[in-house]
Amino acid sequence: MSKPQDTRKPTASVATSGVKVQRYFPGKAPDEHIDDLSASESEEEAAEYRSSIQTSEAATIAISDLKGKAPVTREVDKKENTSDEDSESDAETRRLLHARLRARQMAAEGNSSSNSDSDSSASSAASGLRHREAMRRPLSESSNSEATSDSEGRSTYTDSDYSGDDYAPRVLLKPMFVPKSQRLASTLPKPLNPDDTKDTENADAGEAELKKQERRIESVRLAAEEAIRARQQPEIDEADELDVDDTDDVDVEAEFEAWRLRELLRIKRDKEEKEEADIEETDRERVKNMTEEEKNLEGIERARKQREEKAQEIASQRESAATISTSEKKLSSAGTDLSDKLTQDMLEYALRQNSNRKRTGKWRGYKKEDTSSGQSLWNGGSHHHRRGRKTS
Amino acid sequence: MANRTVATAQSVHGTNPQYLIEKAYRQRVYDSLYWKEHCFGLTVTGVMEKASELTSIGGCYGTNRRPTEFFCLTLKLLQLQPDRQMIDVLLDQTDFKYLRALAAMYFRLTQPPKDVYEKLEPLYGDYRKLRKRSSDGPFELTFMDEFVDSLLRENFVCFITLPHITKRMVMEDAGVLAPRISPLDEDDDDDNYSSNGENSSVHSSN
Repeated sequence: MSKPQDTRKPTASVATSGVKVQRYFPGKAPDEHIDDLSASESEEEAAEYRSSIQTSEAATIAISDLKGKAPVTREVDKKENTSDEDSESDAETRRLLHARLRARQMAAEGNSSSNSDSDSSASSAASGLRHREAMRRPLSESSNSEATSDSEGRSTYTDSDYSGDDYAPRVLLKPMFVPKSQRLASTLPKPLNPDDTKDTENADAGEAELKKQERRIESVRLAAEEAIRARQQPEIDEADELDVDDTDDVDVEAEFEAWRLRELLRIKRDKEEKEEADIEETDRERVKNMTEEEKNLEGIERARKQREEKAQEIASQRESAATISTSEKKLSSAGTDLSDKLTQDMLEYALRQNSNRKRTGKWRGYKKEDTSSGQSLWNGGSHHHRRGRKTS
Repeated sequence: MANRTVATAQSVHGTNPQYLIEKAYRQRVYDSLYWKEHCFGLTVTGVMEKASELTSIGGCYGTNRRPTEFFCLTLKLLQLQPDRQMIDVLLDQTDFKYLRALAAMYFRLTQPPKDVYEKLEPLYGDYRKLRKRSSDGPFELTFMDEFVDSLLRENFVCFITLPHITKRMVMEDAGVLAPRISPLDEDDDDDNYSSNGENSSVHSSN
């Protein structure tokens, strides 16, 4: 079966205004929304920006998040030196920005294997960016210009004051998605310093040892039980063969008589089967030869009989249920023990369920199924009301 | 290799003859010690020898469904697929009752209904005792004629689902078979239990 060409997706040749659509990854803020109304740049610049966005993604994300401004194009203009403009007042924010950026880069790296091609460039760009960040760190603020002249036109911001551990947020950060691979790295206990962790480890090890031992004991016990059982088995096998004696001609007469009896029974059985078959045959013949009217009459008769039988069954069941409850009551009337009453109620309930369930296909609702309310012995019990009545 | 049906075998009732025994029980046989030890590389002659040493019939017994030797040998016969002549000989011999029972079981499993009725009904006259292993474990006493009766009438004997055969009555109505003449009727005519052409009552000891 030939699959039709995928005509739904437009191929690359179809004009899509040259925009490379970025895939959505959770944790990655979407590309900056370029709003027509609020765009301050010309279309040209916007286009330029779009073309470079994949390479400067990480930067834009971080910035846009913090700044919270929709059009980020201003900040990321490669010609401008944004850091110079923002510097002092935004030093803190920039620090936070760095922290965020690094985390995102790590995340992006973690995702790089599963990323699409469109993103791999971004992640590689991000990793490149990270290297450069590391290099730039000891540099002073004045070296921003170097960064600015970066060929890929990344946005720049100072990081001279930045120290990796400065996480104190004065601005509430947006929660960031960290992929699992990164998550564990931060939360794993550090086994590198055995001295520090020895105590806790010992405690844990002790516990683990105990558990192990317990399990071992348990398994040994189970194995012992199995072995005992297995050893007991052959005893059953061999001994009993002598119980049944299959020697013949012990008492020829008796044996013959026994056989004769069996044979007669078999003959009788065969005869009865034959007779039944004959009766069925005759019945069938008779039905075939009857007229339509007679058939109808017979059908009516049969239906009536069935209905009668059914009614009888129901009546007899009701009686049996009633008789059970009354007899039980008589038994327990002497000593009205709490447990006796309880068992009585339970027994009645069980009998009722067993008896009537077949016929009462209709679901009467939860109220009928409720066994809690009104049947408490403190409330005088409700078995008085149930006597003889057909219940659901 | 030890568990494969012989290469020249023909299909029985449309399947590999071994498949007449259910997979689960078949596997129990393959795993059993008796099969591995005694039934390996056995020929029909070997099966005859083993069967002459049998002391009981039965299917699988016990909680872990241990197969009886009778069961193992049945599977072995199915695997070997001896020819009709051989089976006839085994059926007609009266020296070893358990071997006869084994042959009867094999016959019932593999042969067409008409032959089954014709060949197995003479065994109704054999009233020798058989030791049968019940599925729980302990032994029971049964008789050869009862065993054959169960083979002809029941669906599940000795843990084997017997292939379907048409009822005797149906075959009689179709004219394929004559109504059964019980040995008793003959005995009424004759003086004592005598061996007739068709119905022979056998009571020689094992």
